[in-house]
Amino acid sequence: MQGHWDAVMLAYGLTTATMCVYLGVLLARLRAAERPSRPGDSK
Amino acid sequence: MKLTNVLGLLGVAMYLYGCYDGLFIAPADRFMGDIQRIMYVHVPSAWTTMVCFTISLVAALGWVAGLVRGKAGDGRWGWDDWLESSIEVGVIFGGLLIIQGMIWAKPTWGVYWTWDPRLTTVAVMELMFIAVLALRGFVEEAQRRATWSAVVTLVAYVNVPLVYFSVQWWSSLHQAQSSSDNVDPAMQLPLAINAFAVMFIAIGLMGLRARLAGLTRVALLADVGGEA
Amino acid sequence: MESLFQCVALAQKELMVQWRTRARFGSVLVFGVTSLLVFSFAVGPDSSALQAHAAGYLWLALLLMSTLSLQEAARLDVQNGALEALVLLPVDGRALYYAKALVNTVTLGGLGTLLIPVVVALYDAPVKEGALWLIATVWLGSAALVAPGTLYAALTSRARAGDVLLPLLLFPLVVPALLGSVKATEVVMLGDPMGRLGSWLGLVLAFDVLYWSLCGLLYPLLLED
Repeated sequence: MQGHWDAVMLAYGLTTATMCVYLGVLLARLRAAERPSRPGDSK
Repeated sequence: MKLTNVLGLLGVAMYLYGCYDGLFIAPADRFMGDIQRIMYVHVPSAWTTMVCFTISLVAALGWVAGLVRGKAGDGRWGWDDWLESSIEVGVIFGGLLIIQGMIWAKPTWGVYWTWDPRLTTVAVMELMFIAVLALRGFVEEAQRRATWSAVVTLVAYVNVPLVYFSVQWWSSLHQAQSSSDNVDPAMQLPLAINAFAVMFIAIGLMGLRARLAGLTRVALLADVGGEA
Repeated sequence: MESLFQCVALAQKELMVQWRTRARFGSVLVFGVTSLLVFSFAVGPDSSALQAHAAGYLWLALLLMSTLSLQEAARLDVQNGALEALVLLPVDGRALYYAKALVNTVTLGGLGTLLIPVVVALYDAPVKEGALWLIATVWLGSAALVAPGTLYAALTSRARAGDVLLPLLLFPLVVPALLGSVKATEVVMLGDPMGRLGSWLGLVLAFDVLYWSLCGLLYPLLLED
């Protein structure tokens, strides 16, 4: 059977990219959530 | 630093090495060739998905146990935060699992999909847990959302072995193809490294996601009027 | 014992409510017939293919009908605040669950039984192992759909976009029961040379036992708000 490296790289790339994107989204949302409250909020 | 973050970072380091080993050091499979290298992310993804959904089960049980024992106060919310995060991370890895499987299957079996018990069970499981996320999206009140999604999670998890055995029965009558499980010792190292690596990464992600869930919930309650 | 009396009383009330809205029963039945017709158009006029898969189409139609009947049964409670009233009484949540599930089973089983002659006619389906087994399969399978369906409908009738949520939650869950029911119906229709009927019905029965117990246990949790 041939190497099918393109398929292998696709699988690895997709997996790694998904984890990175998810991490990035989480960190961004966490930063937004932990930001000091907007003016006008009671605290 | 929090344990989940430590594990996550450790996981990343292990993953980098594991992938390098799996791609460039480990030998190619005698029969399948290089396509077999997908196993170094596929098997870890499978294990991680199951671990995530098992954490969901524990979280659901924890929440329900708290309800039944009538504990008051905020101690219980950790369970719900982890329920939300473990289901979401589980769904993500489950989705990756299915796609990796299809990428592997096409060159190997000639088809993207086959009705073998493992694949079918994963697909059903994935759909069930996506449905729990959808349910959570449509229920605003935090207490109700927590209880309802815990109940649905319990029902869904109990279903998984039932699906597996019934599909096994069903497809055995149609001669399902089974995949080779023999692992050459030289392949065992990257497999083991990545199995733990991906799991640690998932734990790190779940920890972050649970924290986000908690913050979002508190902020929502504060907006509403300050009852927690 | 008290719970049993409650259950019977609640079931009677449930039947009465369903009877009052029996026009809807007819509409759901017609919906089922329409679905069967639509399936044959989707497949084409190849009568041997239709006959071979008649079991599958019957259960698809039942599955689709179940979402309508389950959702409506739950919504009737929510509409008039009846659910809150029952919780305040107080009523044993499990008795309420079993009452609703029983009546839902009667409804869905009835609908399914009425679809059998339609399937036989439309798809030229034989009934080699006897009509009695076919009816038994329909009822066992209906009970399997209803058990988690009643639990889920109690949620989805009170959530936004509940109409979408019910099939989303229910359909993947009932795969084992669906599988078993379709296979059992298939061998009843086309003949059972290898004696498989018992095993498939056993699968559906196992699903029934598991979910009728589990959902009854969990239902009260949904009532406390």
